[in-house]
Amino acid sequence: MPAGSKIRPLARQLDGSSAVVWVTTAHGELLYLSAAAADWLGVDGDSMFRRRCVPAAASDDPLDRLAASLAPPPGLGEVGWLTHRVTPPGDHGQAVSPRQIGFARIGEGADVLIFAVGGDFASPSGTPDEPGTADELADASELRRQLDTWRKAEGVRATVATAGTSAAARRTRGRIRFAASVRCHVGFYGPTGCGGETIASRVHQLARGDEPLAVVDGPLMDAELLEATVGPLIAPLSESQTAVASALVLGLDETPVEAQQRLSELLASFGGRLRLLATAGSQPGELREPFDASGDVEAVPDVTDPADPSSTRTGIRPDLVDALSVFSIRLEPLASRPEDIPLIAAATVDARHAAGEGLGERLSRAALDALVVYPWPGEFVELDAAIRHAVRVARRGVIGAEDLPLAIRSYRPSDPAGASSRPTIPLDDAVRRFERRLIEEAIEAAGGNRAEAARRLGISRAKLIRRLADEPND
Amino acid sequence: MIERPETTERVLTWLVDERGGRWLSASRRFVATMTPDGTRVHVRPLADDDLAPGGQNSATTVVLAEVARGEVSRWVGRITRCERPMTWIVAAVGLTNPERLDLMRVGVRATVEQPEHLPRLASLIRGIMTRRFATGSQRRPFA
Repeated sequence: MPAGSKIRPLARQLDGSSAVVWVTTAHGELLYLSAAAADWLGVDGDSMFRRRCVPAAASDDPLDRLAASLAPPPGLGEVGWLTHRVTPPGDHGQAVSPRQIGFARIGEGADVLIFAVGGDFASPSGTPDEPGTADELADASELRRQLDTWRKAEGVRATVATAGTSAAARRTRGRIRFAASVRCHVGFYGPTGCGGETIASRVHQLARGDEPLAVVDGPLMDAELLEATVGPLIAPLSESQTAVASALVLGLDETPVEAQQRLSELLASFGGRLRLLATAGSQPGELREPFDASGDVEAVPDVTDPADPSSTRTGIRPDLVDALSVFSIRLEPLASRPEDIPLIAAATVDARHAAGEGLGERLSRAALDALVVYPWPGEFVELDAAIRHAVRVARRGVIGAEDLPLAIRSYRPSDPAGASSRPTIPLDDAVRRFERRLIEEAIEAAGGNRAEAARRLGISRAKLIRRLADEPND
Repeated sequence: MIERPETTERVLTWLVDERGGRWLSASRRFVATMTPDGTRVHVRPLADDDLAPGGQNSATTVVLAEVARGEVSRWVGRITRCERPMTWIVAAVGLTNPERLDLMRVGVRATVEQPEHLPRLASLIRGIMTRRFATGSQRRPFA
């Protein structure tokens, strides 16, 4: 095997120049960082050696996040050469300005190396083989730039469900910042699956990361179980007047009344020392009176009446509503913020790809279109599951619409006028009518002989007679 | 005796001209939320005779046209020749400023790049249609 010339003179030359250069393996491991690049980033080059330059690599270490921002833009494997504006987060104590970087992919298979070179490049990308790919790569690069900017602005506060440029996303991020800066009860209101639990946990972590936290699955609670779940918080709160703790109640509006009663008593006992973080539906109801003067749950009648949907026992006790009304965060449904979906999806792809779950590293425009148009009844949880599926299924770096779950890739909205004017037909009614017509036709074809009709339909005579008896003539 | 006011149904026709189907899907998904309350919205592909003179209700018709690179001048001519007072919206990526100005000069009210940007036009469409429904105007904007 022929040996190349020595690498040291080249490294010495690069380190002596003002060239911003770094080299990674195909898996993103940093092999070389020039002295000028280290100066630009404000780090010691040795401290970055072997760190992973993969977007959204999960880590609390600021240097890991800095390394992640050095990742090449998606699509480099398709064209071999791309430019991208790298935006380091700068949360390692050093403000770093963004810089235009050219990325070149050289070698084959496991020997691939990625060279990153700072410069003022005229061409935004290489020459793709397929028409339209240049627009897609520019689109992906722009998404990456927006993600880097979002990560830089949000730092450790970043939760994927709040990514985006919509007014709703900006407002939510602002309220999370505020919630993390004060210590008060906080309600998180949004549809099921909107990421309320993750956001509430992050708020706790940011506000009082060292404070004990008990997570309570509200709908599964009764008074005793609640007592047992928050028990580890109660003992220190009882023993010391300076102790503090937080309880995160998931689905407060679906928590049984007696458990809410107990929670209310605990909040009253410990004052502000027990902090309540609670998630609930978008428009949680207030539990209806009567509560008696002592708040005794025995006095609350069971108002659940299957014939009256308004009488269901979901809702929040008035005193807990009062406690949470001090500060609340409303989480908008994904369907009302379509412009955020590409960014959220791209951030989720980055996270899944960084976790080594599959080959998919960017979404094609067709896949993004399918995600944008889909109404997301399962909210962020459904989007996350869809992306996880797509990253695993994709056979190459680009995730196509065909890699998305069937429900999403086959969704086609209908003409709104047609949808609103179309009559509602209950499926059971339609099936019964169809069955009735088949039976009548079979009886007619059999000359009124029900046994013969049953034989022709492949059912028993008794079943045919039962069906006829069940159904009134239309 | 108080007479019930005569009510007329407010109908917005949203026509889409494109090569694939992404803008039709996006329009069907979002346009109903972008119109004044109580508006009945029809979304369908643009047909050849939709731009012919003499059609009805064209003041409350919106045309969303996907314009590929290098096709701006052809569309400027097409919009100029259309004598119906429709509201034009152009979907295009990478338009230059002179191209945008050319499109605005012939009455294009907005441009969008990607389907997820369509809801940004809600207040524009709502405003235009509220005025059109109120006045029944058949005047062509900027003509």
